[in-house]
Amino acid sequence: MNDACIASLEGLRDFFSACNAIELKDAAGRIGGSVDAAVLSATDWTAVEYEFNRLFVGPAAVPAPPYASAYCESDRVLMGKAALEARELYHQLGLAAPQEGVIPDDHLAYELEAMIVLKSALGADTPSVPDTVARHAWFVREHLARWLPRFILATRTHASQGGVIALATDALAAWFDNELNTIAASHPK
Amino acid sequence: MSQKTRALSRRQFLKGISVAGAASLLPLKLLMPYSAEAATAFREQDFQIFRNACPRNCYDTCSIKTFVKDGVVKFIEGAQESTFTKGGLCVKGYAYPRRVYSPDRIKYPMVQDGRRSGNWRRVSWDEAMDRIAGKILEIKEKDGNLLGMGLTKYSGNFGITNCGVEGMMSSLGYTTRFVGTPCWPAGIDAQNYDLGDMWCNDPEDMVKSRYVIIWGANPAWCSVHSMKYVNEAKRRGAKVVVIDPIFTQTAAKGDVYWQPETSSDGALALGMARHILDQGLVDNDFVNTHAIGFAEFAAYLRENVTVEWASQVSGIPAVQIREVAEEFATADPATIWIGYGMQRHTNGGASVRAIDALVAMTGNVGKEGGGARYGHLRTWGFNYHALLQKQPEGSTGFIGATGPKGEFDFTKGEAASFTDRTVNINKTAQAILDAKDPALRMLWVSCKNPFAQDFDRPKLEKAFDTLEMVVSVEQFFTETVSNSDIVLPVTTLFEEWTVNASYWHYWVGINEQAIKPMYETKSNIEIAALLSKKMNQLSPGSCTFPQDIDTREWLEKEFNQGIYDYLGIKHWTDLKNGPVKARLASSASWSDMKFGTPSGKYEFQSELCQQNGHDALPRYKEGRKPYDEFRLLTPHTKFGLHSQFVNLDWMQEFNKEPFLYMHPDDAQEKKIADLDTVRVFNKVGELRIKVKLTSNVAKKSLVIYEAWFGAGNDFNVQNLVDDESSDMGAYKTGAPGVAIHGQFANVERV
Repeated sequence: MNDACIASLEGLRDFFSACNAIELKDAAGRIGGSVDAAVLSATDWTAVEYEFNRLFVGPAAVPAPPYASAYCESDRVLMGKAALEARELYHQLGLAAPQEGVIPDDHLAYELEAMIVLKSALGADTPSVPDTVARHAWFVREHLARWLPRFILATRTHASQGGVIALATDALAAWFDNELNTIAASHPK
Repeated sequence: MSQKTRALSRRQFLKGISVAGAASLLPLKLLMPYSAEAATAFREQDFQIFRNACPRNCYDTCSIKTFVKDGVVKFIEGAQESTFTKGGLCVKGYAYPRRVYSPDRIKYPMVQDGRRSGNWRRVSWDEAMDRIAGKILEIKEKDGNLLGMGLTKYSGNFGITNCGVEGMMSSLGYTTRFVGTPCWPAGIDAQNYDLGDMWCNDPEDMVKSRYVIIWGANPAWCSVHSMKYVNEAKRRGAKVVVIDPIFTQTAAKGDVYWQPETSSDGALALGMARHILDQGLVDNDFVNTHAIGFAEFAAYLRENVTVEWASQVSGIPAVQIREVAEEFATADPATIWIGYGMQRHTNGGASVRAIDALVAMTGNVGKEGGGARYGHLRTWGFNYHALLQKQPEGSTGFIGATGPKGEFDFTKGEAASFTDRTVNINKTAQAILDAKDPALRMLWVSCKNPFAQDFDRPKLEKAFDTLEMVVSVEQFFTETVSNSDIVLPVTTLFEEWTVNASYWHYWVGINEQAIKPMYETKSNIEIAALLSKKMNQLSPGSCTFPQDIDTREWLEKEFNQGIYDYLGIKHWTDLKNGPVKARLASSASWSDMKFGTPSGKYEFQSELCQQNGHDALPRYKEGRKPYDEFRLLTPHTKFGLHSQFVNLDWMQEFNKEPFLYMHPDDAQEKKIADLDTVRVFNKVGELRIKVKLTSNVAKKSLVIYEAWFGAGNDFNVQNLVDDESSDMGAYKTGAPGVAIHGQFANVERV
């Protein structure tokens, strides 16, 4: 169960950090596999790449920036408190974003990778180290919950319906709902 | 002094709060001690502080203090060390962190599959350079030279090391350069004919003026730091006269406001000059000892100019012209700030010469608190190391002209057998369409947004469509990027080392790298180095630009002893302690009365001017004839520097959309109501826009502030502005200026 969850997270991480059509196709295939949704074989992956860049990368103004700070601050601006919170979490896990400060620490892909680390630790620890449990709960409830729903909404509003990006976004939303519900059930506030 | 003691610094203020902690000594039961220290205290030692300098094309060139924590720019403030910046920035400046951290910033090199398609793909820097270098080599192969590669660059980033863009072009070979300036060239030529250089008094000495005329400038919006000197002069008793076709915020702060017919400035100045002559208020010592040609000028005035004529041409009542002329001539010292707006006309150079003459004949040239203030480049004596790159051996180019010129070209180029091909930056569209043998195949755009700044946008789009490759170096997605094939992400001021000087005040400031360059952004010179590496990989010896550079080292290479002496510093690192002002013999330019003209004197009559195709005397020259029902003015906006800043959230909070401003009487005639959407149209093109009615705008004129861009809006004033040349500019800047305000249009409700 946990391995499947981690594989799904890896697919999402790789999708949202993809640089080109090949990487998108590869990651989307894995996401599709993990949520039992088929990616159409006739998909025009270059068109997916254009759409991905239009939504998340640029060069034009992006309707759904994949950074926590864009949603957590009073203004739409990056490298805010959310980015430094994410940085602090990575440090606690003994990790850091490459060339710290170059890509905002709260990029969705970094955060998904941190989640992979947390989930792996939770899966391996018997019983779980309290720190890890607390960090995971904080990350889901206090950090991701503050921005992922808004990011998902922004993406759904601007992505083409039934497309690959909508599929990946649905998978992200489903995973996050499940994560939030599981935490609520096992660790009431 | 009293102001200083009243004003609490941030630190003092917070100390004040902690003193309030004495309340904890009271016998309280409910309220808890609150530690301001922990929650909100500002402690300077918690921050790394860097020196930055605003590199925008603005009078003020602010010195900035940048506060960095955790590798993030937290906030910035104006440097206190500069008496000009004086601790404050403008609304645009304070928004700088929003540029760095905007989610909409251009982050990666990208290619577009079809211009204006919006279909963009990320590429590595290596792939981007591979495409670009491949194209350059293909052009060389096909044409036998590199003249098919063009560069258009202007004032988007005035950091001195950014001259490496021009250097990069030279390091590739002889190319096509768009030269000249849309900004101020007619006035530069005019001042060179009259005085021998463009050299203004220190703006800080305006406080000494007893009479200030601000003629065609709006410092309340475009040079906010200068306003404190205008206000102080006024407080000390000076009269402030503002002359502008629009009732601006500056005009609102003046004692007298004149709203003359646009482009009638020359007549107005000459009418005043005639009255001063008639009243015997001429400074005879100056005109006889330090000037030539005054007798001829006086004869011209007597024979051709009357106050009544000036009144008729300008629409300003004769009685007012006489009054202000007399006051100006008798105030000592008196000064005129000649704005760039008033010379953006087919008669702009002639008008500036008439105003220069007015200042000179009253003995206000060379005088502290006086002066015909226009601009200066005295503090720009850098080495231009980044600029001066050698063409690869065996390069061939254009035979004929002497190479590119420009007001910022300080190189004294040696005669070479080949040169670059120069074309007029103010006719970019036409120049692209006209370039033959070889045609322009490729355009490199940096520090410039041609679709916002260059004239006749419909023609520009056609011209761009003839180019085989367009590369834009940008921070945000402009219409120019949309019309490009490749976009390269460039650093902000916080991400590179450079140095900045002003064309108005006399402070020079260092620009330190405060944070790591974000995403995959690179500075202009790093991009040049990368291109050089790729060029030499593909074709050894094809580019001479160094392939490995450090922006800090390159900054250092810009300094020389002359600059150190002028600034009174030992080493450039002294500037890390704050900006430094040039050591001026006098706050007045030309205080030694040794002018840079051929005669060494002020020239009311300039043979050089005549040789260059103009009148020797500052005779009245009529403006452009109207070709449509309304005059169209497209001046600078408050919330942007041309198209820069206008897309930021803080700016759009106040400047949500562009508007047309027109007079209520005209609107009534056209059956247009406030906030109606209208179509503004002329021979160039059209645009649709909402209208605001205001009597701040003269009758029969339409005002649309210059630049606005953002998602879901295709607003562009250049759909209505053609590329008609101004009279002067070619002498010092390589191409005539452009009649930006000599434009006409019609309007109708839609």
